[in-house]
Amino acid sequence: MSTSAADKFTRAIGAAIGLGLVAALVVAARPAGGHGGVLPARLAFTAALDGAIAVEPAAPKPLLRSGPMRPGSRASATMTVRNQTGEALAVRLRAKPDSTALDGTAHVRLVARGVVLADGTLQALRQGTTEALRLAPGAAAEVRVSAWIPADTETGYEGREVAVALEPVEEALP
Amino acid sequence: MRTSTKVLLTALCVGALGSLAAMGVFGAFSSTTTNAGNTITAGTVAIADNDAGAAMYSIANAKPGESVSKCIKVTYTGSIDADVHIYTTSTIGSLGQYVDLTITPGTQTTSTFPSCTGFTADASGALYSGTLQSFGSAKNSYATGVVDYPGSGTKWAANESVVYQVTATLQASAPDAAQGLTTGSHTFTWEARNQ
Repeated sequence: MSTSAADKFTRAIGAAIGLGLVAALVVAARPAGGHGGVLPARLAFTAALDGAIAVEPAAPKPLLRSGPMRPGSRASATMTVRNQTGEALAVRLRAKPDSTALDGTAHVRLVARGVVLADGTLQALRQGTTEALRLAPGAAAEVRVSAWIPADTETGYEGREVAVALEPVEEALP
Repeated sequence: MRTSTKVLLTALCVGALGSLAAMGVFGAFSSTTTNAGNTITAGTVAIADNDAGAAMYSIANAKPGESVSKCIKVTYTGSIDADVHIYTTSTIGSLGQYVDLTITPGTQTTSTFPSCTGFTADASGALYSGTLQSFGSAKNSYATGVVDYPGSGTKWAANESVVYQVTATLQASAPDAAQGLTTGSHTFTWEARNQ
């Protein structure tokens, strides 16, 4: 091998090593694919009571603690709502999140006795369930609470943690 | 080396040294620390019952010895620990002197106003036992009201409840003079104040 040939060979090896290092750096710095490498969201629900309505589990006991939530994740729990008064009541539940971080991202669905009381964003539930739960004096009903982040969500949930209190709002039925 | 070059190099050296000296004179180390996110949010004091606006009792044509016993569940939902006093600001009518009133705290597995089914009185017994008239005259403000706490506690914390059994009895010994009299409408008040 002549001197110039050896020189060319050495340069080629050096260039290859350099390119390899650059490629390795780019691969290492690249974010993970999908949502796997992104911090998950977390949701916690508690149920508040008032004088007329008893709930179980009642705050401060947790109603629902989601695990790590990413697009497509879902968490559910069941609570019991009971009319303690001597009057028939229409009971709605409204959300009081401690922040707006997941307002438009998290979806919540409340179902009782096969009726969908609410199905929409957490933000919409701030106004209360669209349907009321009708409870006779002393009657109780189970309410299934489901929360999820839609699978087609791309962003807006990363690392966000929100605690939601579900509050009863009741009115007497004629 | 030409003289002009020497002058230029000297000026450069003087400038460089001057810059270094200036850095020493005007330079300073710096460090800061901060405490962010400070906020104050007021707590809440909130108390409610399960009567949905209905009265515990309303008796017409009561006879001597007739008694009514009803239960009301009072729930504290405030965020600050509180005291609760029970009183009435109502003016009790003249039948009040012949009506015995007992207020007993306790628990109830399932409360439905005004039923006392399943009511269990606290071991401490009645909070008040006397005539309705005496209650009206002696327990007529927060300051003079009857004090009660859930169980054997010394505060009302969030989501704690007490069921009160209220018993009113027209005395069996009520005289003929009591006929046709009334207690008038009266209101029992549970007032919470933060500790």
